[in-house]
Amino acid sequence: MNLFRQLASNPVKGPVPGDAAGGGSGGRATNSPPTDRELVRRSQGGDYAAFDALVTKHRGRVYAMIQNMVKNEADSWDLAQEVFVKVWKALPKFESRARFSTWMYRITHNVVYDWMRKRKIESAGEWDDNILDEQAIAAGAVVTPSRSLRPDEALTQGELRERIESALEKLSPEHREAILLREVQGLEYKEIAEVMDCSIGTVMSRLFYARKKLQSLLTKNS
Amino acid sequence: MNEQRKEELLTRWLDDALTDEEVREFEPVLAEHPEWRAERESYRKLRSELVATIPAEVEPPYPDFFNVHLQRLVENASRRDRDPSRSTLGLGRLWTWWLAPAAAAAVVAAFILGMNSAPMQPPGVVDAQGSEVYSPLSNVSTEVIQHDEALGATLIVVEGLDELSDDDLVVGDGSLGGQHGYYVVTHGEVY
Amino acid sequence: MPQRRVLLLALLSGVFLLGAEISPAQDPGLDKIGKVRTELIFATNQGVADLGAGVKPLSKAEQKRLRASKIGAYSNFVKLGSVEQDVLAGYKSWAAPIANNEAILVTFQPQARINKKLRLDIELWQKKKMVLRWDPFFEVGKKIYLKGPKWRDGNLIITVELVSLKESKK
Repeated sequence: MNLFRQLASNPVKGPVPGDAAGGGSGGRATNSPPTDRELVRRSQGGDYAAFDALVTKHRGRVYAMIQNMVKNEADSWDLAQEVFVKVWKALPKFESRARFSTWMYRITHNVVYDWMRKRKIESAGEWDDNILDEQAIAAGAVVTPSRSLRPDEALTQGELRERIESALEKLSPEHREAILLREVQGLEYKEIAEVMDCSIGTVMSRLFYARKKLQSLLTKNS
Repeated sequence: MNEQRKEELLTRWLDDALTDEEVREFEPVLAEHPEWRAERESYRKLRSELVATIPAEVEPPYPDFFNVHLQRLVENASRRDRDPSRSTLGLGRLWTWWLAPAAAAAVVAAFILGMNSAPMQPPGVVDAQGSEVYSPLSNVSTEVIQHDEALGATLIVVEGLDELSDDDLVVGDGSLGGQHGYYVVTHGEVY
Repeated sequence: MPQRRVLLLALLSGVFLLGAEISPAQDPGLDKIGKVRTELIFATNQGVADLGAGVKPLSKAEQKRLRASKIGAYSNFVKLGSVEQDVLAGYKSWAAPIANNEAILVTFQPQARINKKLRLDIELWQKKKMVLRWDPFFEVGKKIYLKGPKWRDGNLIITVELVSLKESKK
């Protein structure tokens, strides 16, 4: 498997920090890692190694965002793959003046919501906890089994995390996503509006109600 | 002030994101609700707990394989979508450009994994060209035999998996003559 | 909990949760493109008569092939479980060769199709952990054998076979 590691890491080639002639004071400054803009530009020019570096840089955020929405490791992995395939395919349309990470979150949003729509777990209000808690293996259930199929879920979690995650799960997808994008991912309101394809006013409203609901749930359960 | 505006200002106030003008607009409303300050502190405490427990970044499981597998998906997608007459990325060229080292790597990987590298494939054998085996478990090793002569099929031998117990394989209350029973079900059409 | 599980299985037996509003016509991912059979075989040198009535012997021909193969020097081979499922164009399927048992699960999802061959992403899951991932090409009627974990004095063998493949739409 070491070979796979070597092949997969595929680092973007560039000067090695500290390799500059002269070193010390008066030497050349250390090169910082390439920016998203640079990596995107090179990816758009056909440099797959640059795209691979973009993936490595952003896969953690994409995966975290998906898993916080979808709550299933196996599906999250597949959906994260789907996000980056779509990113790759849509790169020609990406305008470099925009922020890559916001655009990437937008694609992540679309992929997650498409998945939810297909699984028919749409809710205008609260989730049905019964469905979320089910851990049945649906043997023979071919279509999108993962929501009800959680064979990999064996993680031990702190009590606080459990309470918070349980409360987040009780929010609607829109409210949960707004909270995650704002509080966890640190996006600005305008960026959240771009990701969720809604107005800033809607973002504010969702944040307002999501925060109230979270507080209410966590106060009730404490 | 309408409710929607109040909610928006409350949200911004909680985030310390009010403009000077908005502060002036909001202050009279805030004065009527002194309890909001305590609620803001309460939510801020909750928010810091949220940020501390819900990670913003989580490496996907098998991160190296994530990239390798993605490369495969991109290759497949590029193959399907390739249209040399209108491609702006030169995907055809791109596909060829990075495929060569990837293909070479696949051959080397196949050798390391012990794949049967007979130059001529017997007729009807599954072609595992470029296929990859991956295990996230460090104690697991695999050997792929492209064409086991006796089986007339591909065989992959996996060593190092945990042994299963009778308790693992028992089904329901299956128990026949004091031994565990195993129900064989051929499901047939699922729908 | 077991009763809730049964209830959920009953609900899911119709496949679509909460009513199917999206039909295959609307979602091409739901197109059935073939069928896969997953089987669980036990290879042993001990007698198999006491394993229980639910266990089925393999054909003499297959037993002979298995004995001569690189799987190892076993004299007896029996089938513990078998399940056949549709391959959906855009979804991952989970197969449990022994019904209601999670010890051995196999997932498969189509990745690519070249002429009459279908590349499937296969995962082997053992006791709720993914232990192996593989993406071979399959041809109809050709099994892939996977020598898996030990059990009792022998080995479990998982087979995956593409039973049928629909003609691709042009």
